[in-house]
Amino acid sequence: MLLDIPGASKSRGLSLTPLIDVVFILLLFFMLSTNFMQWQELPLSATKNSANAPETIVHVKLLTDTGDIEAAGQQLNLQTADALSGLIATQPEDAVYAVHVSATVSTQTFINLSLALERAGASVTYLAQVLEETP
Amino acid sequence: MIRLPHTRPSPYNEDNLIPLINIVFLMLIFFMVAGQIQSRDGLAIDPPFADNKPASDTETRTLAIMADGQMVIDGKTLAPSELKTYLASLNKPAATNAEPPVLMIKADRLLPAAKLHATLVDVREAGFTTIRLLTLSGEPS
Repeated sequence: MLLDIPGASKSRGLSLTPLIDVVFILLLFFMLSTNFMQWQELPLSATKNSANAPETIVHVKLLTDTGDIEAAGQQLNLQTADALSGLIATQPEDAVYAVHVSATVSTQTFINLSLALERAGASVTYLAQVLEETP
Repeated sequence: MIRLPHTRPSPYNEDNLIPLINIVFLMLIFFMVAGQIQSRDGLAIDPPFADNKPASDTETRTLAIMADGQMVIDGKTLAPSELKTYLASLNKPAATNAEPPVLMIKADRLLPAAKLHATLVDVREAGFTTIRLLTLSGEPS
C-alpha cells in the first residue's frame, strides 16, 4: 500500500495564522482602550479670586435652564444673539461678573452663560451662589 | 496496490488571507497612532460641551460628579459631607515654591449648578486654589 504522504522536507512557508491571532488581539486591545475624546478645560471659581483693588461686581442671575437672565435690571436670554454685549458695554472693563444660579439650572447652562459672558468681553466670571427659591 | 486519494494542501492556501491582514494592520496602525490610551473611570458621565482651552497633559487629580450628585475620586465613592475632609487630607502642605494644587472636575452636564457650587466651595475650603472643569468641544447632540 502506498500512502501519499507529503515529505517532511517540503517547506510549506510561514504560517500566517499565529500572526493573525496576535494582530487581532492587538487590534482589540487598541480598539477597546483608545479614547478619541478631546478633553478641554474651563477654569472655575466659587468665589472671586482677586483680593486687592475695589472692583465693580455685576450680579447676573441665571433663572431658568432655558437661559433666562436678569442682570443690571435687564431681562435677557442666552438664546438671543448678542444678548450680553449690551450689558457688558455698559460696565467697566475690570468688572467682575458674579453668576447666581437658580436650583433648577444645569451645569451646561451655567457654562453656556460663562462662555457667553467671556465672548462678550467679560474678564472675570465666577459662580457666586445659589438663588433661594421663591414660593 | 491501492492508492488512497489524498488532497495535498497547497502551500499557497493562505493567500486569500493577505487582504484581510492588510486591512487589520491598517486598522491597528490607525488606532495606535490616532488614539490615546486613557484609564477609564467606569462612570456614566455625560460631560458638558464648551469650546475653550485644550486640557493639559499634566497629571492631576480628577473628581467625577455624576448627574445625581454622586462623587468619585481615586476610585472611591464619597458622600458630599466626606468630600472636604478627604480633599484636605490629600492637600498636604507643600514647599512654598511648589505649584498650587490643581483639581480637575469631570461633572455631568445635567448636574444642577447648585450642587456644582456646593462642591466648589468644599474644594476651595480644602485648599485647592486652581479648579478646572473638564468639557468636550462641540455642541450637545
